[in-house]
Amino acid sequence: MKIPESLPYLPDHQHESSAIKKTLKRSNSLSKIESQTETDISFLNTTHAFDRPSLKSLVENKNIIIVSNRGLSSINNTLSALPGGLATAVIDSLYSISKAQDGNQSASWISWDGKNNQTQTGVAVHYPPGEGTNSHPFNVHQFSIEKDLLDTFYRVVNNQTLFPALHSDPADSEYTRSIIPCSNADWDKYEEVNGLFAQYAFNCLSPGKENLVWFQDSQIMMAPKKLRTLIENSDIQDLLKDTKIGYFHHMTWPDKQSLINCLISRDEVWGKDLGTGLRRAVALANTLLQCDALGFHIPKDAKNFVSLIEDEQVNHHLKDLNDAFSIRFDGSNNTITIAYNNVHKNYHEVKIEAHPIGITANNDNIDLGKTESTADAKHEIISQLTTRWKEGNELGINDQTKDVFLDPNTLIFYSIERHEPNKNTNLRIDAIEKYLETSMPKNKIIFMMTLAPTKKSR
Amino acid sequence: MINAKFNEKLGYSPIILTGQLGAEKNRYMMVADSLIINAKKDGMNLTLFEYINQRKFSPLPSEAIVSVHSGVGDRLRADADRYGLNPPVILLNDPQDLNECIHAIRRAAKHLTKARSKINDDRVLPSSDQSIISYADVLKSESAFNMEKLKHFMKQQNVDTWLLGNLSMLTSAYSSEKINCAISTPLSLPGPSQQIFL
Repeated sequence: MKIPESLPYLPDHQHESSAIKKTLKRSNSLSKIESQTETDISFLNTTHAFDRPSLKSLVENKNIIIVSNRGLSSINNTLSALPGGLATAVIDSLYSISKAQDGNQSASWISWDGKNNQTQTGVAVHYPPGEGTNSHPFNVHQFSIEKDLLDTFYRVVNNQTLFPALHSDPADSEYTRSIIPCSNADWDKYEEVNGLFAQYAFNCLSPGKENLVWFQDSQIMMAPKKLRTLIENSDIQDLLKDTKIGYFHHMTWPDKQSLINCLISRDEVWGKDLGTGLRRAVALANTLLQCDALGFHIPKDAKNFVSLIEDEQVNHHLKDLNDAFSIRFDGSNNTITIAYNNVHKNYHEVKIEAHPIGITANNDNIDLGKTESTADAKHEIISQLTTRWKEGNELGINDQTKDVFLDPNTLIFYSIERHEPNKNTNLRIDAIEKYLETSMPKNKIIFMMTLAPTKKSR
Repeated sequence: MINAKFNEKLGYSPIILTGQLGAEKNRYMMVADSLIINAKKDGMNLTLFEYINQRKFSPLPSEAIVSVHSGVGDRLRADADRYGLNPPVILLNDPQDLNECIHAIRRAAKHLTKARSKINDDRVLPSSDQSIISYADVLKSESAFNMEKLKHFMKQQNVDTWLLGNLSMLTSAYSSEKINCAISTPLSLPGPSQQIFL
């Protein structure tokens, strides 16, 4: 007996490339994007191998600065990142950049110090830890934020207003009502902290060298404009002219009207101000238009951002700030470009593309399946949970449940539960309950759930 | 609540809470036959990638239930159009529809149960090359093929491709210092692409 060798193969890159190229031929204008379905705009995704340069050619002789709100939890002892895909992706990116630069330490990571109250600049961090041939150093800069300012910046504005607003949906009024609007004074503090990130990025620029500053995610969305202003007002502006600013948006970008509605300030709710939602949406659009490159995960988010720029009300206010602008779609590069004259009447272009993130492939450190059988893993889980949930605890696992869990015929469903409205936890639990009520599956089923900390609890 | 409600009917507690998120999640994913991601909206949601990474050595089939309103669901939908990913992925088009979620769990359980039934099946089938194969081997090859689809998806979309794509865009961005001139309104742009003036 043997396993058939001729499993069907997935299309290779060449087939994929030609299919995509065909799609691109069909779609060469933004007006066409508008009339297409959501699936059809997937050609905007540019992670195709056929026209990709090498990383080495992109980073050689460049000063690369990645800026994110969160960073390493400790830069002295371990390299464990704070929870979250973003920090992990930044570490992996810096490792790749540093390796491509032959470890000449031209890559830096700026972040908040994560409540360590320990401002440290230019600490060389080796990754993977140690100084072996596979380890490549990059510079880490972390700074402290005063406690009250941090609370307003992170908890009040980011977690209670901005994060839910960016995940909003016009059809979900329950969700919209759950948003706690921040005040105008809170928003000013959010901008102030963004100014700190921009200032640290400015301090890391190398005069006369090509600088690439790449901001990550919505917590520091206002920083690109602040950095641009610092450069323009600098005495050494000419030496910094080779600075390019990028921003990657790790969240969804909502429908324009939903964003405007959800960004409304507490002052407006109390009748003390008007048009705050629009003003904030314009501010977000304006800061991102100061970038040279904007990245989103999926084409739909990129399209929603462009729709915001095109919105008549937003557009009117942007014209006050930046003069007229135009938008074009370049099918050969899968890029939307927004071009305008800035306040100094200089021509500026912003490229917008969709680049979905994943995890680093073949990360052997977390491949448990290589060394552990499923049965062993199940026993280990039961052992850990028995220790964790002491006898009498309502979460404790009884003997019958242990036996069912260890039975190889039992089906295990897994989910990570985070009590945030966008994660839809309540509906999932309702669905499990209804399923158990209405079904009698042949195999026994266990739903295993892990609780993750919420944004509000961090 | 659910455990209390179903303990008597099923003879065991159908829900196990593992506690706070930590490194142990890799082991939970490794033993899980199915993963549920039913977010109303999510930027990307990397949980599926972590799940694939943990399940890639398992000979048993895996079935992921994923909302198309997460970034990963959107990408899977695009890939499903190209390659067909059902199974091992059940896409939730409306994660707020309770019935659709129940139906997805039911479908996943059905697929997985059917596949499991083949494990102990002694019957054999003739193969194209005149040899014979067992139902269990068919299951293994089907699971392996389905896992290959997921691994292919994960390989296409990783941190390196993300980094390269973004840095390519940033380094090729237009340099304002190269053409430093005032442009009258409306703006006239170079290149063959169609322009829309606002």
